[in-house]
Amino acid sequence: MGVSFILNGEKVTSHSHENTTLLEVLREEMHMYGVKKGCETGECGACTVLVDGENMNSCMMLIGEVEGKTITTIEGLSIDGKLDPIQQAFAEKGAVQCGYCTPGMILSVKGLLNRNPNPTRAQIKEALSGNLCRCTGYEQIFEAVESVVEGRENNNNE
Amino acid sequence: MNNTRPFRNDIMDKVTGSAKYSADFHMDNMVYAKILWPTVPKARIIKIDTSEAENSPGVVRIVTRKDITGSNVSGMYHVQDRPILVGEGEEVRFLADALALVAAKTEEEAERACKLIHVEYEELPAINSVEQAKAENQIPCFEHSYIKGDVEIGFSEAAVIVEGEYNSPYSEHAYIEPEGGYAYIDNNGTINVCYGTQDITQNHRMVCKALGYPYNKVRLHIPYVGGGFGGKHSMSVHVYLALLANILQQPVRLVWTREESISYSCKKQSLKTKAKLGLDAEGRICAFQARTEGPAGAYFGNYEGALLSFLNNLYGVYRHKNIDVVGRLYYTTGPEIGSLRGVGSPDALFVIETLINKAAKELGIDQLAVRQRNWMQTNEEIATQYEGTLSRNVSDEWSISKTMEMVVKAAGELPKPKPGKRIGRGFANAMPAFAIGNSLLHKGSVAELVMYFDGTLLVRLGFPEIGQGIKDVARKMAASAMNLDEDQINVMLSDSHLMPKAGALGFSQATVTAGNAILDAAKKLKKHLADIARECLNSDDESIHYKKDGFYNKNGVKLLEWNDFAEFCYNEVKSLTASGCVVGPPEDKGIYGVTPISTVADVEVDEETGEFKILQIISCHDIGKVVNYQSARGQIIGGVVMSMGIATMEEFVMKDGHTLTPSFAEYIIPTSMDVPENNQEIFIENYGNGCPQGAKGIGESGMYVTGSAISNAILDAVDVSMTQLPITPEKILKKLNKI
Repeated sequence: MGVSFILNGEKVTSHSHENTTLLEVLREEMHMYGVKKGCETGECGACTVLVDGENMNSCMMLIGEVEGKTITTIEGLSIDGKLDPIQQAFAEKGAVQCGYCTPGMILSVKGLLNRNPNPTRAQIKEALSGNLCRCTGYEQIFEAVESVVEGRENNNNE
Repeated sequence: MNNTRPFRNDIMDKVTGSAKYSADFHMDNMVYAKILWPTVPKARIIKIDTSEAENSPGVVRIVTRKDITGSNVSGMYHVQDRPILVGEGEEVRFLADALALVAAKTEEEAERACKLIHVEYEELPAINSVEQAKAENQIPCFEHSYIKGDVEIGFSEAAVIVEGEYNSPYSEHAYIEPEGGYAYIDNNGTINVCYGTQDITQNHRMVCKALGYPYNKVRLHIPYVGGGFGGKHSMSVHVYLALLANILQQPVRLVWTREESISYSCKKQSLKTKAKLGLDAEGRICAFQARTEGPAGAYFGNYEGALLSFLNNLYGVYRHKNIDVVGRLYYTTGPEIGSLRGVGSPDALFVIETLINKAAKELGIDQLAVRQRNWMQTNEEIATQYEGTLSRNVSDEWSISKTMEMVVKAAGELPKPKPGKRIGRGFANAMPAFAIGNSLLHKGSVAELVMYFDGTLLVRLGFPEIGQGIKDVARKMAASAMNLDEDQINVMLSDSHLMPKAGALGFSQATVTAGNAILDAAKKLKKHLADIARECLNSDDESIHYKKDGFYNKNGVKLLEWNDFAEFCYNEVKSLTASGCVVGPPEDKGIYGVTPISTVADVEVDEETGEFKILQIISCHDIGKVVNYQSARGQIIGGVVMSMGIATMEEFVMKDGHTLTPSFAEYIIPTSMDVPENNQEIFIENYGNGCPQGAKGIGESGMYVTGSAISNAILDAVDVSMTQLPITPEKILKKLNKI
């Protein structure tokens, strides 16, 4: 028995109790410690993962809800050692300080760009409003997201 | 600087998720611990009955006061007075006085067992406010005053006297990583504790003294730390982890929940200040008087430092002839007073920076002109308690007029208000009075350099990487000092057994003290290398010196290849290490590494609702030579947003010793939606005297006068001077007499 889902491209089965949060399963059963625990009440966004491409607070989901779904954590975002453009942009723009909010923040950006490839700054701000960052003041994070969008536009124009 | 690398050396770990923080380690056979906190804030403990809890499923061990063989006291800095565990017959003085530790197979089982411990309390009268303490004739637990000249004469010369009663609440640091860690016994029998802190050297001493364990048997090591802002100096998990690992002889993890983090960690001081400022007809300050008081909490914490830091910043950057300032703190049943980024300086500057605007307005003098008439000049003796002239202690050029000029220029025209709204612009300035060098906590740090036989270098430092970028600063400083590529430098941080002493990570000191230590170590290492090269060459040529690929004489002739030198060292058993440290300021008891700051804020206010929107904040900082631009910029604009939150949104509230704001639903910090439309930093790079390669500390600079500038903008817009922090729409309406 157990709950089966795709985690970072691989099929896995959780044997945790169905009332266990997805956050706990990812961290303590799957040892995906890139998924951060910040509040466990859906207020800080540090535990954000992608569920079928949508950014979700993993602390607010129970493992029973993810049967058959596709979960991406920060560990699964780089493909064959190549950084996702969002990770690259966060590094280049200095959008990282202590780094604790970074995995969740990057996955919220991924979720945003999945549903809206060309967000305005106002849309970026709104999309990231569930991810608290105490270090950066958010500015370099906005700039990183904008540089991903611009970079893609430039590539399309080439 | 050899800026050859595109990113900071911690960034790849952080964007890929491979960065490990205190709660991210797992070991076989690991158990999980929870702390039993008291439910009564002030009480004598009659009985702690653990019998039922011991039989609860999964419980491995319950630890109480009886299990502690050491002094059982800890402290944030030099004074140790806070119990590790409170036992039967002893007294609980606030809600963070832990009663027991439960270790169980799972965290849930530990939590469940905590609820089955029965505690009998004899409730004692709590002291919930300064007013109550005074009514009960309590004498202040700490008092400090600074008197200069004669304020009575000063006020008699004043053309205008303004007064205000200011109030700043407790604030929470709100790092996104809660306190946590794990511990285990290694094959050496050493207790290893891995957790997040800002102060490893002091914490090491704290753990060993409190538990009575030998220093060489307790090893603390620090992974990446998810923010601290001053809050991770205090006792959190490390003492408990060392105790549990030693008793259990098996790995144990202890991680606080967010609720525990907010409820039981230290707080920024909450102070009330009655202040009075007199200006003569030309707008020159002729007298300043202030009476500050506040709760000290139940233990020492950092309350002395917190009050002193506040009082030291009450004078702003200004020339004062007559000062009469007194501050008093009283013991209360409240949170431990810690240090929060700036240690209350922003609250102090709020007093002087808004009072001066209020006075200038009454005199009909512009807010910039009043500052120009009063701020100290380059070669002037510092007007308050520090010694020496500004330029000697800061930079050859004291640049406060320049920082102001830059923000005025960058601010542009004030936009036209939307219908029904008013717009205002406020200025403020500061000189963070870093006491690096003359405080016990920030006297200096040690750096060790180890050169390997392939010519690569290891830098060993005590400071942790907490987000400030010290790992990258250390790499850049070492690369520059040894003339190596950044790729040839590896930096290891924060391990009580492997790394040298560090000061308390605070006061924006890491770049300055670690940088100075690295440069000192590099100088010694180069001399040591040259001495060995002379031995190898059998030469007494004093001009022989090290240069990356070998050794040269004064004519630039290479006399010895690095590889031959390395071979010699290998065969002759030479150790290529050096230790460096620079203690204290170079010449006197003054301040140094000071960063002149000017800030402008534009605010739009709705007079009907009191709602206000911060349109832009531009701040200019003379931060000395920039080590890493992106990092420096992030520190400033991040500090601006944090201080904007503290000045306009945040308030840690207690009632009868209990926390009313234990989550991010109640303790609101700025989100991406709350930031100003334009948050801009400007740097001036005057060489910082006494600072490594001229680089000053910047960690706190963004915090200093954001709130003051916002408040002055509100004064400019709707003619009310705010005094109660945080500034909220309701408080603006009250000042406007609309509610």
